[in-house]
Amino acid sequence: MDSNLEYTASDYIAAFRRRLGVLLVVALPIIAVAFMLSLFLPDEYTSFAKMDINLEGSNIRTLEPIDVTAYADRYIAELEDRVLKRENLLVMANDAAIFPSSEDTLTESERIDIIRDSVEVSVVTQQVISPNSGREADLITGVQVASVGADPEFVFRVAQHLARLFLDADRLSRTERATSTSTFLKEQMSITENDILDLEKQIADFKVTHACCLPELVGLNTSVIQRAERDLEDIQPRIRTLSQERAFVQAQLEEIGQHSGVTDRLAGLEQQYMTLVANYGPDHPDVVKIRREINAIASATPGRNDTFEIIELRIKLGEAEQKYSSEHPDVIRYKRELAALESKRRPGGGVAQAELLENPRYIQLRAELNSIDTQLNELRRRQPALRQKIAEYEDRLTRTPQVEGEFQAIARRLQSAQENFDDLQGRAVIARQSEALESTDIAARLVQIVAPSVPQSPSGPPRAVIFVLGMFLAGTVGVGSMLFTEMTDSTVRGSKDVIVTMDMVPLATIPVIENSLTIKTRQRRANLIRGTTIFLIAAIVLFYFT
Amino acid sequence: MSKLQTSIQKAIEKSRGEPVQQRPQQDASSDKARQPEEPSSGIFRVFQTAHTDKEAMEESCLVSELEDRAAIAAYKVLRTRVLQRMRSHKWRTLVVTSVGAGEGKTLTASNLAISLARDVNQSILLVDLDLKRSKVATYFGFDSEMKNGIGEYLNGTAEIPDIVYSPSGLKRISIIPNGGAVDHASDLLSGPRMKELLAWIRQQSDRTIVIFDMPPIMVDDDVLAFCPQVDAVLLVVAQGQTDRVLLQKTMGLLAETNMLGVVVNRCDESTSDNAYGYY
Repeated sequence: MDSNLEYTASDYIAAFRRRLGVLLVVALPIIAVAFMLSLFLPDEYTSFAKMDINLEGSNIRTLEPIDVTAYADRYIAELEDRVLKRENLLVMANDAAIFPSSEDTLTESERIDIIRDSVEVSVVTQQVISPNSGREADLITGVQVASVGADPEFVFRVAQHLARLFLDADRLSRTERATSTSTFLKEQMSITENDILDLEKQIADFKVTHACCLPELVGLNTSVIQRAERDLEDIQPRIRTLSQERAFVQAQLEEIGQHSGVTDRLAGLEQQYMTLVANYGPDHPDVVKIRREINAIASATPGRNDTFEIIELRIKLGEAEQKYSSEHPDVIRYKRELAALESKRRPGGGVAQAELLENPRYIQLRAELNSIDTQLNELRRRQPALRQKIAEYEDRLTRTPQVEGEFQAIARRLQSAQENFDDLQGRAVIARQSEALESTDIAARLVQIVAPSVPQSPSGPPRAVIFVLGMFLAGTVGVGSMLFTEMTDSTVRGSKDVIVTMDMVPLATIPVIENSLTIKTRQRRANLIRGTTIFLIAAIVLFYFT
Repeated sequence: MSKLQTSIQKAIEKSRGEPVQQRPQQDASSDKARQPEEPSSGIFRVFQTAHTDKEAMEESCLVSELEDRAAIAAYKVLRTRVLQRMRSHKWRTLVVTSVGAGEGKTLTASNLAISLARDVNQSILLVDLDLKRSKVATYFGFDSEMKNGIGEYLNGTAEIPDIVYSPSGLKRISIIPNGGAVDHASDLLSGPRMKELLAWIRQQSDRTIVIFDMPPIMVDDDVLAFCPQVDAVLLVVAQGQTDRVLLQKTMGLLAETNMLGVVVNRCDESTSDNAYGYY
């Protein structure tokens, strides 16, 4: 049973026959309307002017057709806007040559609407081969300005006026636009250039301000720190070595000049004694102890017997100088006595010193000691300087990231400004090319090649197209209606429906029975359809082909 | 006397309470139209003659007057299959009905009766039980001369011999028509008078098939009320008219009944379309 339930071509034919009425009911009125429209729509006349866009110049050869087309398209659109602005249409609406006085019944806005509805502006294109790519491309070569309407004289007048307006607008536009774009771009470039200079100055100032912390100096600063650390590390062992050397030399010196050493020791004790006496008085145990030592050394040393006398005199002189002026007799006396005693001691001491100075070994050691002291002083002086240097450069390195961030922000702004400048430069080149196109006589210029004329025959409407479209629409809508009706029909449609619905094969299928009356009706209908079809075909043939 | 004559006699006696003479003798002396004729086939007698109108029959699309060979062939197919099924099940009474009105049940019942009667071994009794919109007499064109129908019989104003007609020009077929609309039809159809008629029908020859033309199932309950008293139901479905949902509901209502089958009427895919071209 299943195989019998599959729909075959005959089922579809049967369905088509079944819904033929729907098709005819829907399609015939549409066909009739299309036919009536194609038959009775009023004639339309078109008057037009054709203008070439003259783009023959030296610059045009360097441009791609697509660039030329884009330029031409934009230019035509601009002209169209200018021409069809309300002021121009108003002038046309009030022009007695376009609207004779017999049409005074129309209002101004109605006339404007009539003109606007009748105007058709279209571009004229031509297939060309791109000189660069070698591909075919559409090149806009001109513009067609037309007026379409039922009155040939009216459309001619409108087209004539429009053509004149287009040519005028073309001339005006070219002179106005000649430099505007390029001037604008120049101004922009100047502004951007100033921005760039300003930013470059900012960068220079910034570099000066943060010269020590610039990112590019990170390597240098690091190496300075490393070098300073190395120097600092070297100084310590050298100081140790020199200290040892000095101790050694000092020992040698003391060995050589022991005498001289006793004298020095005595002088030291003298100085210490005077200080202690001044502080504690002569009976202090420390004073007594030093006095005994001085006595021991002085008694052992020839020429030093007057040591205590000299000390006493110096103490007294000190006390007198504190009490009196320098011209006081006591002060003068003490000074004289002290000078006498010292002059008496100096020859003896001078002999010992002179002996030492004549000793070459002593002199050599003394010189070595001086040299070692000089080096030690120098090294000890350098240590804090090096530490300060390391700290300073470490501080520079710490500040570098912050400086780098600020520097990059300025650098980015500079880069952006430079890119903007490059872009403007590119556009300026194009603008200069356009300027060249527009400013020369042979650049984008409209040249009228076909002047408007009074149309002698109608240009429309496209009656055959309307009829064919009507037929197509009728067929589409009709078939759609058939399908819709068939799909939405819930009634039984043949024996297969019965089998599906009732699960029962029909005993018989009875066709639509025809009696003499229905046969006559059918024949009459067939004759009517035949006659109508023949009439329609004949009408179409006569209308379109004669 | 044939078996049918005897049973009619008995029915009349029973209904009137008195013995009656054999109707052929009575009719012969009183009314020529009601005078019985000799049985044409030997299995079924001829009752009062109803003068059929050929133009009306042709206009009603009865196959006896048609030249539409496709339709004739289709009804032959239907006849054959109906006969096969009824014989196989030993059925004798058949209700022809449809889902809705105007789907061609009266036409199918009439044409099936005519087609079946073409078989010389078969006699047909067509009973118009569509008591509200009776059309059988109109189809055969004798409605104007019909005096009594089944309505009168059920109301008790007529007897069986008064309501059985033999249409002229058609052999082996008898018709019990109906006149005007009858009220309370379903009550009458299950009433005693109807039972008597059915009893009389059952007494007829085994070769007599009785076709009841009944109203649509979805319009009235006559069929449902009457179905238990018949052997089978033949459902008529009209293409482009019978709703599929209603058809399913109808099948549900007839679930308890013997379905003889279904006939698709006004079908544009008739199986005889191709077949009749063979002849």
